[in-house]
Amino acid sequence: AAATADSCCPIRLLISKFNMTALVRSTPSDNSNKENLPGNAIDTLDNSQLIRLPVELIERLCGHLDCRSVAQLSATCQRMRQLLGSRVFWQMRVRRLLHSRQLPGAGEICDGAVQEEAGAPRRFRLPDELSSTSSINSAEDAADGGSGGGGDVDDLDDGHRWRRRCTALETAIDRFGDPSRSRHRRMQYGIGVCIDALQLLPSSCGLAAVGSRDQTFGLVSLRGIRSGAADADCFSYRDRQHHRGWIWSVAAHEDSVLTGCWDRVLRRFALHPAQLADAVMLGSPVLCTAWLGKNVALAGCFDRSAYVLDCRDIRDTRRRVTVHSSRPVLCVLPLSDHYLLTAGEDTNVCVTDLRASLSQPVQQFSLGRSRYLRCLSSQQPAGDAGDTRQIWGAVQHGGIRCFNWCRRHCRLIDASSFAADLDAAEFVGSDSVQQEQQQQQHQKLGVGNNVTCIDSPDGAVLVCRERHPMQAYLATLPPRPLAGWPNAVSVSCRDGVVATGSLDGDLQFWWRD
Amino acid sequence: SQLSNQRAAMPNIKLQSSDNEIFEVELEIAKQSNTIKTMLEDLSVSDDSDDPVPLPNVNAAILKKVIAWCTHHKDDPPPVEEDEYKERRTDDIPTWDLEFMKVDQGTLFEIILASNYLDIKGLLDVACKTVANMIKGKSPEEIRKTFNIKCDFTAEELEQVRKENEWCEEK
Repeated sequence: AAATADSCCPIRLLISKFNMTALVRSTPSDNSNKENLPGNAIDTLDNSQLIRLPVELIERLCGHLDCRSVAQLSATCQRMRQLLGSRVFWQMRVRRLLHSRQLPGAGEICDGAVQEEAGAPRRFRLPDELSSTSSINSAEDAADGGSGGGGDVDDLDDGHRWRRRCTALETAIDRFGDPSRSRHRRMQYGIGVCIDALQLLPSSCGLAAVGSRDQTFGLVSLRGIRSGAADADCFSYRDRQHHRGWIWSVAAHEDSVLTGCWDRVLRRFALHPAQLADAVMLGSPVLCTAWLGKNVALAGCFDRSAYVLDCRDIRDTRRRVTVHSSRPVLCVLPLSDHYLLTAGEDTNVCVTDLRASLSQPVQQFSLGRSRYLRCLSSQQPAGDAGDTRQIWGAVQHGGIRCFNWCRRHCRLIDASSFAADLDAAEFVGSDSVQQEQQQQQHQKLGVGNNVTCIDSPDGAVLVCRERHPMQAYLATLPPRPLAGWPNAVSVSCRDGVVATGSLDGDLQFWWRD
Repeated sequence: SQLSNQRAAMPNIKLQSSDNEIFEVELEIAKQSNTIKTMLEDLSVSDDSDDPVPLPNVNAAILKKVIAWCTHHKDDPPPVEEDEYKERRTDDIPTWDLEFMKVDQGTLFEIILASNYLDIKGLLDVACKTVANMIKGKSPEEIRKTFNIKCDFTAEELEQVRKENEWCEEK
């Protein structure tokens, strides 16, 4: 009777048609299927039900976990390591994340003026995927489904790198996707005065170096900020007597801060104790400063040159990089030990080898027409073995440019035009046209649209423009808008703290406990 | 037409567990399982057929739990397909479900497997989130202990894995 019931019941027939082998295999109570379990299951059959879950369920479970937890889970046993340590796993996670429609800011660029192109969702890439052709190919492999995990060492190695990238992106989304999730403090630094220069020092110092247009240089104590001390008590040091003009830039490391001032002097302040240590007259307003290692100060000036000054003899101003033919040098950025990146109002971006000619760049890009970089920032992309650095530049009137510095070959690769070559519709398309329209519109309205500052903490890019909300982007190509932050003209982010300076003398800080 | 009225009044279906226990449930409740729903639609099964739907991968104890969950959630809006970013939240489990998931680990994993087989997205999500919450914030050793995972690394591999995960400690 049972046999006839079996053959008569249509549902039973259908079930037998369904391919259920996978499901049967994954039933823990069914011990007869031991050898079908993936991974090293034979050793582990008698212990955990967690690691005996089928692959797709483990992946689903990881969809509910943050990167750190996934990494900890992958460190528990062989099977987990093989599944959750592979390049394919992390690459797919990055891809899904970037293509997620539910990220804040999806489909908006700048101030939300851009329209999604009809039907086609925007696609985003990581800039460092573009630094070598091999990684482009492997990225395509993964997108096409790729090959399964496998325990191969290279794959785990690669997986480790992709895991770091994924973590950086997720951390950036968490940190910059919504300012209201952080603790916040506003502090009055000056009254009605623009704060052009701001940099957080390494966290061991717990200080922010600040320079404003009322000639005040200050060191603000983050401990004071966090503990809710009165504004005046948050100053760890304040100097109003030395500068004779607007302070345009500050650059800091653990024991020294440089200030570049319109009064043509580059100053060095020592930190222990805080006091003016050096001052050198450069003959032209100092627009930007940076450190090259601990002893060499860099200063970009209005007179088209970038000075390379050894602090042990800072008055020796003979070493001048003169690769910009006309117009001021607006940004200086050290690349690796002997290479210097400069950008000027002449629209050129130059790489100079400091051991070779200081008047002949080893590489030069022209951004064309009236486009020039106002400010630069660099980040070490997470998970890269020190081979590349991402350089993010903010183009006057709004626009972001990304370069990759390849350390091994000492070459700068313009990642943004590289991306455009690969996939023209993806990057160049809406951005440039839309920005020009926006620029025209803003000129008509008389609204300042100058880019004033850029910073690129791990996985993110923060861009300030005059009288605009600061925009946080994910460090992708094109940069993916995450959220608008309060208006700011200067920004610095370090070790989880975000500091901004405003047009009218306010400093703001965001941090997590 | 008299027949169809009768059907509308009693839209029940019988489900048969792997250990041959029969459960009678409302059709609408059973249809939260996409697997069952598809089977019924594909076959346009007449409800008056008294044949139980055999579920060879789910035993009676688990099927009972599944039916209890589906009964409580029968008026929920159909689940929307969420993408990666939002799914990462695990602090949004409703109180009833939190209570429902207070079961031993064996049952929890069987619920995961059953809800996957029966394709009940809501239940699968809640169960996965419950497991995720048991993993979050733990070290590898603590995870091993929680889930009874045998560490099968060689000393060398263990050192390598530890090194790779050093960054998890930094904040």
